[in-house]
Amino acid sequence: MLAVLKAERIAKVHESGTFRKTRREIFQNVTLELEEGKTIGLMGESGSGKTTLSRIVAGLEKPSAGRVLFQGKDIASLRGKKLRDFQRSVQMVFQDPEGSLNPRKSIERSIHEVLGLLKVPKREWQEKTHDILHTVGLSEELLCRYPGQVSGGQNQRIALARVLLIEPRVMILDEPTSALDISVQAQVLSLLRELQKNRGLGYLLVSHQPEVMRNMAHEVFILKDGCLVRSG
Amino acid sequence: MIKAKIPAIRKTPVLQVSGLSVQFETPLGRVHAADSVSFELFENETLAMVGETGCGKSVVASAIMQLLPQNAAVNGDIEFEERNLLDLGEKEMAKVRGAEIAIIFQNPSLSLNPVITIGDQIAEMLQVHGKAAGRSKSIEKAAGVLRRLGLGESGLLKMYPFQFSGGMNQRIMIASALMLSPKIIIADEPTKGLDSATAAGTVREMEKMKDLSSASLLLITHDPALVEKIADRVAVMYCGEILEIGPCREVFQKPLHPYTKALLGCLPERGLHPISGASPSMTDPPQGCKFHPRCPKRNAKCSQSPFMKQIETIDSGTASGERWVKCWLY
Repeated sequence: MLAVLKAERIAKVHESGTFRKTRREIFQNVTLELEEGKTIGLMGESGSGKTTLSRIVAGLEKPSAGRVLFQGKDIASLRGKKLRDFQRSVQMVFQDPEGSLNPRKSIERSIHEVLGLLKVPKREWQEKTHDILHTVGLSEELLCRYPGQVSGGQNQRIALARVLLIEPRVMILDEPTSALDISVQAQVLSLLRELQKNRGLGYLLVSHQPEVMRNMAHEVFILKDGCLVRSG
Repeated sequence: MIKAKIPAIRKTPVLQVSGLSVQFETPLGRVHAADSVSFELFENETLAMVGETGCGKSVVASAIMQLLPQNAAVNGDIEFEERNLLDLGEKEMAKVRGAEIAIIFQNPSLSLNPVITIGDQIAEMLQVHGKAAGRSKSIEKAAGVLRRLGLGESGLLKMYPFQFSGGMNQRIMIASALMLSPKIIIADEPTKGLDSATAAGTVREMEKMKDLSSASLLLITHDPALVEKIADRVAVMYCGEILEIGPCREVFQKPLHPYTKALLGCLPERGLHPISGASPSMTDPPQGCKFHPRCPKRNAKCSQSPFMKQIETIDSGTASGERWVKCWLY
């Protein structure tokens, strides 16, 4: 199957200091392919560059060397409709669910904000909101609440609902359950598995839990000493 | 095969919590954070209190240390050294905190003062409780405790918490807890927010701490994997109540309460099976068994409150099979 997204020989170097520049190589020569309906697991210790690599793959950060290809084209060269197509197709879910949502907007406004950006006619908003809440297993009673008034697991589902409205093909999941209890973790991960089955989504799952990887990933890579190695 | 029977042999508890209830008055209503919580902590043992976030585990720890906010209404008994801790005044309680019962909080970086050196912070314990003459002597003792924990690097005592990682700060908190050789150490989510390598390091430190001191450990966590590694007994909490309590290995191998079974089923190594439904409101908890609206084995009796029943497992192959469960199925 053709990869939707391919990171090709990616390297990232961090530079710091104003007068005396210091360079720290985070990783080099990383190649990774993401396909629809498949989960690639990414593991590594804190500071090994997992989040940086996932942000580069999602197009949120530029690599120091190498390129990220979306349907065979370098994302750095994408413009106009093709760039928007990439931004829609590849979505990221962050570690801290509460931090992913605006604390001053109700859940309903947060969801409607996405529908507005997608230029969905207003008359369809109610139906779309109802459908997406049903997909992520949330009750409509939550719509009038604010992120601070619902649990971490519910916030992560709301963040997922916002992402799913965009109908991505690939999702970059940066430790989506590390801030959650095991019971809520099981809810969110089984929801992700179900979505993959029903919608054929491709995932890049960043996690530090080997047991989670064993349950979720088709293939696992480990970022160690700046290199990406396939896990046995 | 399981049958109800009460064994006669009992050890002496160092801490006995009986019928502890904690309620908070809030603008959203009365929050029932802990409801008739009873357990015993024995000498030299590690008792883990496990449950989902918000089930009241940390409230129990704070009630023992009398660190609850003023809007908390606390009832029940917390017997320690033939005293009810809930009857002690602030001055008497200050003598207990740190010296007799120490606590390790869940966010080590926030629990340490960022503008005071590590050495001074650990040594502060001795000075506050009048156990050392002068700053230099107490810092010497602090260095001794750090050496025992394998943190003997020179210069460490003069460094500040912000210069360390979360895992290293957690070790500093463990060292502080050991300074006065307390009888009980309460560890409130010691691995929360740490990555797996750092969490594993913290677990090793905790095991070392258990070897170095004769203190009993009350471990509060939402992570059953951590419990399995270091606890002797486990108490499973849900919605402010203890639903099951028993030897760790037996509870993990053969959980009795449907909630314990469901919670363990959520573990990735046990298949990531989510618990149906959502956690109940703490302001308006369900009548009867609080888990019954989500329980796959509920029956008509579950709308009445069950009571804690002692169960002896006879096919587990261990003699210490003293288990308690709060469910109408037993």
